Amino acid sequence: MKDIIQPFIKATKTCFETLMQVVPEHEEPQREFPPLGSFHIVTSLALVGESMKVHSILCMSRDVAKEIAENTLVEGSIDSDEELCDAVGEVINIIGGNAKGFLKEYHLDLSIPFTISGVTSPLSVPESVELTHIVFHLPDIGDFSLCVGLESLE
Amino acid sequence: MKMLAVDDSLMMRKLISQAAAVLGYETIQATNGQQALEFLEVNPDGIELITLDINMPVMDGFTLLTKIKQNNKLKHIPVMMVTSDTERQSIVRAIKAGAQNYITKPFTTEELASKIAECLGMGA
Repeated sequence: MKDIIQPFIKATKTCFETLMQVVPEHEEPQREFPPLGSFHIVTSLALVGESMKVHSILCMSRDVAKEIAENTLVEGSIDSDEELCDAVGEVINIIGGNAKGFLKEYHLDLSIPFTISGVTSPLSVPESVELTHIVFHLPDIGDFSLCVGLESLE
Repeated sequence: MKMLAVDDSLMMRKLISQAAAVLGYETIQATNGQQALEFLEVNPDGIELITLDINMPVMDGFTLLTKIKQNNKLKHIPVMMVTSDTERQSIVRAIKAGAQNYITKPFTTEELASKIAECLGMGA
């Protein structure tokens, strides 16, 4: 498989280092997908090229999403699910955009992020796509998960 | 003094508004290119800078940028692209289409305010 994992790890670290002045630690990538019920907010974004589609999914609890959103904005408290989804969607947009820069040889286009709250909603990733799951730790805030998978379009 | 922030993310529009407020600017917000174009066609005067996301639903940033630069009443307004797309090819495309400047996400509010000030000729 093409190395699509490291670009996303680098992009995630850059994103949080700039937005929150903290570099998240991450665990070793693993194949087991976390149970969807562990999270409240799930957002997905795809990088689409002629021969491949890279799926990325960011999952976190409501509390972690709230901390990220409020630490990213200069002022203001965020309480509504709509605003939390917007903030987490923007985070995956930034991660995807930066990962795209690391994968430029594949001429990929960014999709629009799709974000849902609640634990019962389905994910829009084909079953044939093997997702790699990476857990990140944000000190004093909590954990979040990033899943990345490659779909061949050939 | 007013500027227009075009971005589908509320969080990003808030960040831009906060950076603009530091410089004494009021920010009008639009959630996509179509909404921004409709506003500009009715209000062609008084906007001193447009910050424009690229990746948006309904009408993307490249399309809006092209329409602005083809419109005699709007083409004088400087446009700064605000994008998560770090690929050089996208940035070059925006500049060729008439964008005055660009900033890639992620950024700090200070970096954003500095870039806006640069576009407005206010210095850093």
